[in-house]
Amino acid sequence: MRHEKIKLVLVLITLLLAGISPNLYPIAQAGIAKLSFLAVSFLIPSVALILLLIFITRALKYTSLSKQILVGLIAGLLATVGLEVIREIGFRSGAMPGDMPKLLGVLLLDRFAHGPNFWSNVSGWAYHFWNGAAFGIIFSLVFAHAQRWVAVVYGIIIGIVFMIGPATTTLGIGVFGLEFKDGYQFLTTVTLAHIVFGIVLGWSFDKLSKHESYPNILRRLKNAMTVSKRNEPLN
Amino acid sequence: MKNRNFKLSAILFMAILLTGLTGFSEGVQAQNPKPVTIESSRDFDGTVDAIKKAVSNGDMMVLSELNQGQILSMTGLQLNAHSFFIGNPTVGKKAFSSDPSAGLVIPVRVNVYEKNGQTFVTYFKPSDLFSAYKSQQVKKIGKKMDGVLKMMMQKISK
Repeated sequence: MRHEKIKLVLVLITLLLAGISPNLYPIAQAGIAKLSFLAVSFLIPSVALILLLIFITRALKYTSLSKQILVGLIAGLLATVGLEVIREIGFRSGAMPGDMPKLLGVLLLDRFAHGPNFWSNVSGWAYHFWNGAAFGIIFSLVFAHAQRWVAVVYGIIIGIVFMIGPATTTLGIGVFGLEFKDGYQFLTTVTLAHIVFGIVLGWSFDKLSKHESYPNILRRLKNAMTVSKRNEPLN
Repeated sequence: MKNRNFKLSAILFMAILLTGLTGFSEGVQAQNPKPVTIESSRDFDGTVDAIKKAVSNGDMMVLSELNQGQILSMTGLQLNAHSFFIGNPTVGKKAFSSDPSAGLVIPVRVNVYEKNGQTFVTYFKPSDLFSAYKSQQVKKIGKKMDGVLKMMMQKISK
């Protein structure tokens, strides 16, 4: 019965690790530390530990939890493909001030002065997709079994947080990108891209789950607490 | 009495303002330098390579580079532009020993860019920039750098 508690702890660790990646770029843009340093110190270890956790949950025979993390990860990657399609169209039509994955790449490899090259682009794209995967994992563990529209709201919230943080303001376009061009291009592209992210995330999570009912974080918490109460001594 | 107080306050305010203005400009004086622009006899990449060699021949080093064109490609803008930061440790040591604020003009910045198929090299004459400093040593270095840059430009100009 203590398995429920172990599972809850594993879920909380996974959530903590998944939350690292999306926060690194805003932290770097806030001037706290270089992205190249944060990548080596936090990003790579967090990715390695999440993959390790998938194997650990499998080894502990928590197959359902292992699948839940994996399904979230894959759904997040697929959702990022959807987001990228919109972002790329937006960038090519001049509705975005810059090519985000390329910028991430030069910051990751600390080669801004030289501009992007093949490996910086690969790194930038990989980081952007991993961010999507991380958001997928968080969605899977927190909102599993929720209605699809929840994924859309989730995507929009991610977009809003992105647009009000230093990740956007340091591009010189103001909060929500309102100082870029006519004020609506960036806002529209980012919002639309994150709506698509949410739609694809919800849809692919449903499809990949194959009607399996994964418990969300609240249900896991209830399960763990119920088990605790049952095991309490009567006096 | 009120009028006298007002006059005193105004005089005090003007005095503070003037002290501030002159105080901030103690080490550096305002200048209006004009950029030197030279048309290169080579293409863009050839000019970039030639500058690197010429810098070395002039006993200087490329301390840093900014591939401006490549950086701006991330915004969707396509152009050829490259900035070099030129100096050497000896020049740096002399200048900074004399005036620690010399980092404003050292290392010297040289810019290469392409316009209508022609490649240009442009820079501010170091002696113009360095003359803003009171230190004679910094001014002397500026004149020396003028010569180095002139020699470099002779090698790449038409």
